[in-house]
Amino acid sequence: MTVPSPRAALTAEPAAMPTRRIRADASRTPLDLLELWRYRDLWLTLALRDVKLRYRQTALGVAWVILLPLLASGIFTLVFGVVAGLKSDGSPYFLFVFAGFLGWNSFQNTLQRCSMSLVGNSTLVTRVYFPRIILPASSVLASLLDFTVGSVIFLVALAVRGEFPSLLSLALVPALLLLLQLLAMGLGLFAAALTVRYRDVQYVLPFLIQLLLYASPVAYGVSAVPERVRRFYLLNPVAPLLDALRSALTGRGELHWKAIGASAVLSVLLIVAGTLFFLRQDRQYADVI
Amino acid sequence: MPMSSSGSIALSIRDIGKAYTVSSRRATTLVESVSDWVGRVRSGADVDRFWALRDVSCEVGKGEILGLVGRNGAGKSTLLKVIAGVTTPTEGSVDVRGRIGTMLEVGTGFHPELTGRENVYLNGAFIGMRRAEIRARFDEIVEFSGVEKFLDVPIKHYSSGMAVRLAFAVAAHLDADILLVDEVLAVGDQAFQDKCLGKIGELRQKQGRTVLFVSHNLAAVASLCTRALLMSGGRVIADASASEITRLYTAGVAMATTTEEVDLTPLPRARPTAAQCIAIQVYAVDASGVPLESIVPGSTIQVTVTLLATSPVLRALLGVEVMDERGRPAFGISTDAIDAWFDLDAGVARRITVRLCDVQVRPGIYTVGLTLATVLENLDELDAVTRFEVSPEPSAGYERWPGWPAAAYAPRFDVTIA
Repeated sequence: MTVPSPRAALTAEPAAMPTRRIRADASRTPLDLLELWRYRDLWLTLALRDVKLRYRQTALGVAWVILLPLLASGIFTLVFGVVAGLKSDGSPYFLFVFAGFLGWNSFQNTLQRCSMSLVGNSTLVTRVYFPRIILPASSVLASLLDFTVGSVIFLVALAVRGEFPSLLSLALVPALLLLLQLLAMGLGLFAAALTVRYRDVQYVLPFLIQLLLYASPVAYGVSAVPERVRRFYLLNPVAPLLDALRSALTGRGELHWKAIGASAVLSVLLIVAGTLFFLRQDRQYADVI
Repeated sequence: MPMSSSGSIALSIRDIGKAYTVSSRRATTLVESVSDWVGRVRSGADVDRFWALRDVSCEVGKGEILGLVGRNGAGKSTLLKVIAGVTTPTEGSVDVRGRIGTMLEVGTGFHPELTGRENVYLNGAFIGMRRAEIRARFDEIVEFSGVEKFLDVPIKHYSSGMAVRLAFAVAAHLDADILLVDEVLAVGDQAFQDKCLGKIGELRQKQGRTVLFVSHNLAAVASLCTRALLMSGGRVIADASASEITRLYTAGVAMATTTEEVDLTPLPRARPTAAQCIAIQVYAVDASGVPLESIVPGSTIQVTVTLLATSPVLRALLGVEVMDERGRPAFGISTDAIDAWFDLDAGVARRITVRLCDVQVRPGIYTVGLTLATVLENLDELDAVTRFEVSPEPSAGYERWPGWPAAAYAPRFDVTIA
């Protein structure tokens, strides 16, 4: 059917001209790092779009970034600190929970935004080409911003009390946050790809996240978990990272290095597996969504 | 295969096919998916497939403006989507050299909550441009679009005309090497349409950009495109010069005459449905219903459509849409608007006659499209089933229709000068 063109072979294309081959027989979209690099500004633009849109047409605006974790911490303090009498690591229970929520919210928000990133942008997915993986990836930035704002306020509150974590301890924060985000995005990539086909995911996920919140050290510390079940408790990969993140922020408590190491390995495995799964489904998104 | 004079290839399309699953109930939950799979394994049947595109091959040279012409459902838009990389072909491959910019629908990629300015950056980013590159083009884009005053207003407050202007300005000024334009210009006003068509020509001549252009505006295709493809039923049925293709296309649309019915059964349909339009007849009638020789502005036009159902249909409606030579909707009616519903029995043909009274349109050639539907689903959708000519009024005594590039509709009017 196709007439091979003799001229095509002779033509020298300018080096800058990107060439893309669209094929029917490829089983999955290859991970084209060069292309992702060319699209780096799209990642930023989409992430900024999400940040800008989040509080547009709200009366309180950006204040919600800090109000939501404050409210959640307030309720947890009332329920678990006052009524149930759970112990903190020695700092006031409210600050203890607040530090826990900083990490937890960054995990939960990334996971939830990732999972909705394809379905929520279906007009883009069906009409514009760009590497799809940029959509879930762009949800990370908002979480990082929230975390940064929250942490600064937390540290100011700590300083007002005359305490401050050591710089070595603070230096751990970015690394732990990175692992937590990898974990969230790894799971989020699975969720995003699955949601396209099975909308069930968007109902099941919030429920699972709620369960995970109580199975994670937010209202209590890992040290408060009885020694004999702690082994099983730490199988939850979020738990050691959240606990360590709080310890790094408060400068109190012990670090469970072995569990952190296991979570780190799992985070990396999940992000790789999530990416592969996402790319394997990539070819159907526009048709199925 | 026709080649561009510049010699290098922008797009190589080889044996492209795109199939969609048409099983009436597609699994969208896990349980359905499992039960479907079990059912399929048991019965050994494969899923029903509908080929939206089949065996499409073509090379597009750098600097060509390729027009895609065909009826609704011919596969034009699907082909653009495959080339854009939005949807994956089921067969074949496409080699794309250069960055692709798309205008697949009005304001594609625009976010309603973002301002015009923010959306320009977002759109540039979609074709892989850096923010600095977009900044360098920003003033040009704004000037072309003519929406300076509304740059910091969210797009949701734009009129559709403004949104199209900004969208086109972005697509035309950003660094796409290949521009895919799908029937978006039907929305803007005439002056802006002409400006856009001029810009497309300029993009090719000055910058050697490649443009793929889907339009029902045959005049634009003929004047702008260096080459065109005529598509039907997902296949390319002709690949020739734009003027030859527009000639082939309009030749395929029979001219309505007073005496003869146009047979609609050979027209390609996307899928079999319960009922179809099988014939149409269009002519002017006088006050007592006697057919007249010609249609003039102000005529009463009678459209008679014959319908045939393969299974019974309850409460159906018929829509008649008339487009002008530029492919713009001129006027149309739908029988449900006056609560005229009809039932169809299997195997029994019914004739529905619609009388359009006092049709005040400019002289010219008009094409007729039909929609047969129930409130639940569209049964038959056909565009350009027949053409008719509205002749100038012989008795007017003066030139009532100067050659303004105005709307098709022109009401009777009088003027009082005090």
